[in-house]
Amino acid sequence: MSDRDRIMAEFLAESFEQLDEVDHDVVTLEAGRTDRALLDRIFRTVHTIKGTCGFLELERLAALSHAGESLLTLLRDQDPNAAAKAAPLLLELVDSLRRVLKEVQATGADAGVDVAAVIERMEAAHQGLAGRRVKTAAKGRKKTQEKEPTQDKPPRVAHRKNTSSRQPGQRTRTKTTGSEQPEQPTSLPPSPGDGNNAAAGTSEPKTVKVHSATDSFVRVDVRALDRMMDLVGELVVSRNQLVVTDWANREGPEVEAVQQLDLVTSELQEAIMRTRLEPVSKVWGRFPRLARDLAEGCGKRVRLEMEGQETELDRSLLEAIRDPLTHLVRNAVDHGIETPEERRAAGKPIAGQIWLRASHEGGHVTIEVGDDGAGINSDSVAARAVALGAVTANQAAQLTPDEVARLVFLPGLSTSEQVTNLSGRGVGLDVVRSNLERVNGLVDIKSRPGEGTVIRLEIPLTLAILPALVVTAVGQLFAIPQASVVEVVHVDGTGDSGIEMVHGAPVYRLRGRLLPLVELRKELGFETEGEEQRIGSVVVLEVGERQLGLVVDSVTETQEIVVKPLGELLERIPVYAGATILGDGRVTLILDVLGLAQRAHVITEGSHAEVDVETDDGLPQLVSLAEAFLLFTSPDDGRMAIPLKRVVRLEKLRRTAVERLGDGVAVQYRDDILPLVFVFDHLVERRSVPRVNELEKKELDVVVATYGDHAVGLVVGPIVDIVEEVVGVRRPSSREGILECAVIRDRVTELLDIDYVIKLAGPSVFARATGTQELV
Amino acid sequence: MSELRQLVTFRVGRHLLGVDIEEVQEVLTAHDISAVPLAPQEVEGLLNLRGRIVTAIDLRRRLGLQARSDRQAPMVVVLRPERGSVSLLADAVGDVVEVGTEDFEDPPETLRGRSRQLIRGAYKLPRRLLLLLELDRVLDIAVGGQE
Repeated sequence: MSDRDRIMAEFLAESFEQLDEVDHDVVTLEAGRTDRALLDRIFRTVHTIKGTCGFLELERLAALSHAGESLLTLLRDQDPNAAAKAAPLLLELVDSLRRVLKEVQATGADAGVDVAAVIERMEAAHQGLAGRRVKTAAKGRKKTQEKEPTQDKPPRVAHRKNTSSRQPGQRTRTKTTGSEQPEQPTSLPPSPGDGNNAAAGTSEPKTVKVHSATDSFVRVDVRALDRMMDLVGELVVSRNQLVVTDWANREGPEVEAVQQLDLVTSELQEAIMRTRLEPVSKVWGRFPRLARDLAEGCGKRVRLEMEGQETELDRSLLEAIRDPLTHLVRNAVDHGIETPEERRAAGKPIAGQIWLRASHEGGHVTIEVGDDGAGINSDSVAARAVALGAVTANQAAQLTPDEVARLVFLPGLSTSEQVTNLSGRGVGLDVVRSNLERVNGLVDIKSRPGEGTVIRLEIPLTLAILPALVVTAVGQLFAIPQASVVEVVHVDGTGDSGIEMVHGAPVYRLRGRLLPLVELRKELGFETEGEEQRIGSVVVLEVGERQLGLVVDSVTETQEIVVKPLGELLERIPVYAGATILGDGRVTLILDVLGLAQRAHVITEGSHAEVDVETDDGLPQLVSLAEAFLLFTSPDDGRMAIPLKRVVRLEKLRRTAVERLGDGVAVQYRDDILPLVFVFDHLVERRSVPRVNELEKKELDVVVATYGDHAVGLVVGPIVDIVEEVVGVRRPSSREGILECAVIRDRVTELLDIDYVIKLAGPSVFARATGTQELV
Repeated sequence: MSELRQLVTFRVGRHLLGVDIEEVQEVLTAHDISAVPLAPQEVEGLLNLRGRIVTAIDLRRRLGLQARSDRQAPMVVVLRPERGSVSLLADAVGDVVEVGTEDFEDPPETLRGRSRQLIRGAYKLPRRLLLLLELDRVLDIAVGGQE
């Protein structure tokens, strides 16, 4: 790379970055927050571009930035309103500069972009302002002298002389020179050739000064950082090997050296990780401009507030959330904020408010995009979801407002009634969600009609390093990201382990909940040899809002691991999220919890009450339309199902334990009385099948289910399985006591109407359930 | 006329195989290779190359040969990073040999089935045939996996 190329690359990168800031500053100016420092900063950026492009022989860019600089010079002396009014023109300047810079980036020259029109407009503005400046000149000059930044400090008049001499549009200005402008030189200095040469002549010393302001920063190729990350990872591994050696009984300089090495390595690792962190403002920088332009485009007024811009994230993550965030801001302006008329009618301030808020929370960065707009229209979202076949009308009716709002993350569900030119480009919120999930992030939405919508993103701090639980199975080590681990339960293989088999599928009772178990050994393709399972530990994992228990041989330790990709040949295996190198140098696979759960087909819902509490705390959740059911067999060998969220426990009760109580039956259960309902007694038979009297069986399958605040024991047929499925085919049932017929696990299954059956069983059951105290 | 190229040679079963020296980063003795359950059977596992994780493809299994006995520690031919992080497991590694195009011919008739697809051709060496691996296909595990 030649010197010129290198300078060019640096110049382009720096300029693009600074123009993003200028965007932001101009929008702030326009909003009326006039600050001399803002104008100074804008001026400096344009000035720097002008200086450098003279050196790089970019004529059009020089002319354009020159015109911009002249205008800005005048604006700095004007009253604040003038700058605010000039904002659209300044934005136009920024856009043109960007266009030319892009052209330069692509072709190495700036010949292909026409900037004459913008220059002309700026000159016209310049003229208009110059006329007004007579009145404010004295005041302006005084201010200027106080606050002028040092690098722009050539004597005022001379500087301006200089500027005007390079003004490419001199002829249009000749009529204003003289009487109207005291400071304008009445006789122009001899023109030093074309504008470009002049710019080149003055640029170099100034460029040097500007660079001195950024001396404390160095531009580094990202690949160099990545390589450093890799190498420091190796160093950490070597360090770990060294530190593992037993030094405790030794003394001498080498022990100290090892300790020192240990310390320095840790600090080096941390320092290099920090080099990859960048503030979210890097992505947010362009949002004020974006919001402004969008709002203007659809006749709305929007104020964008940003909080926590200094919050830092790993650069790869920052890139990953760039598009999702842009989409959300776009959405907020386009769909969230109402028109001024609508807002006035609703008694809200005319200007809509959009806010971005970033903060560190635990091991995460949370970013909120909120607006005080109309909120999501639940009815239309629900209707759309039903039309798409994502949920049934029945399901939709039972969803809470927050659950309905989450439906907007479904593919193909656009909330806009009409597609506008701003949004509705085929990128939906489902893409936002999948982008977030790709980096182990989460997204959640809250919306209140008439009050607005808040979308909350949760992003891990870094992709590269995460704490993990190391477990063993099939004689091998595996790492599980700690973020998905809820708890570890050690199970001793003897006696009452709490593990039960439900039709061949093991479940674990954890504090009153049924946790489906997944055997790691089995999921990895190893046979469990039929004999009793050697169960060591159950790692309770969280997948979205669901939990499952992963059965492993043992849990060894927690380690910080560096996640490395698996490579093309292996990355398609869904149960691995990557690989890592442990302290002893061994390569270890990282389990993908979601992939495991999907492969095992057993994910169950946490108790519903808990989920709701979490929702109110604003914890994000994944949208899941899969429902969990408990399946059992009916006397005529049909299949029936109960929603798992109503199930508290499964019990097998001895027949002899059943006691008659009045018209009904009950059992003593956990120091209480559990009323029993024989489900099949209350259902109309479909065909005459000789029915086994349930009471004649030795053991009864009892599902302890919730009924309001109470528990009722439902005596059902043999339990088949617990499944989680997105139920496709459903239709209403004519049979009493049956809510719907659905196809679950490829079989027609009747969904039991629990409440109906319990009511049919008579008020006595319910009365008894409420009055258990008296009976005990 | 004749174009010379240098090949890294290695032995797998009774075959002498070679790849262009430009394709090879380094050769080392296999140490801990971590197995990857559910991986295609040709993948022996993952190994740690100074902090880089490299996938090891067992050439015996890839070529449909008998499995290596446990006592035989394989050699690892690590390919250049441009190929992805992959390496080939061989029984033993031989010399780097210089071959000319005039010695190049089609794969011998004795090669059949799967292995034939993975060999680009053969170089006649003074005492034996050196088979040039078709790396693109060797690394594309889906190819020839049906047999």
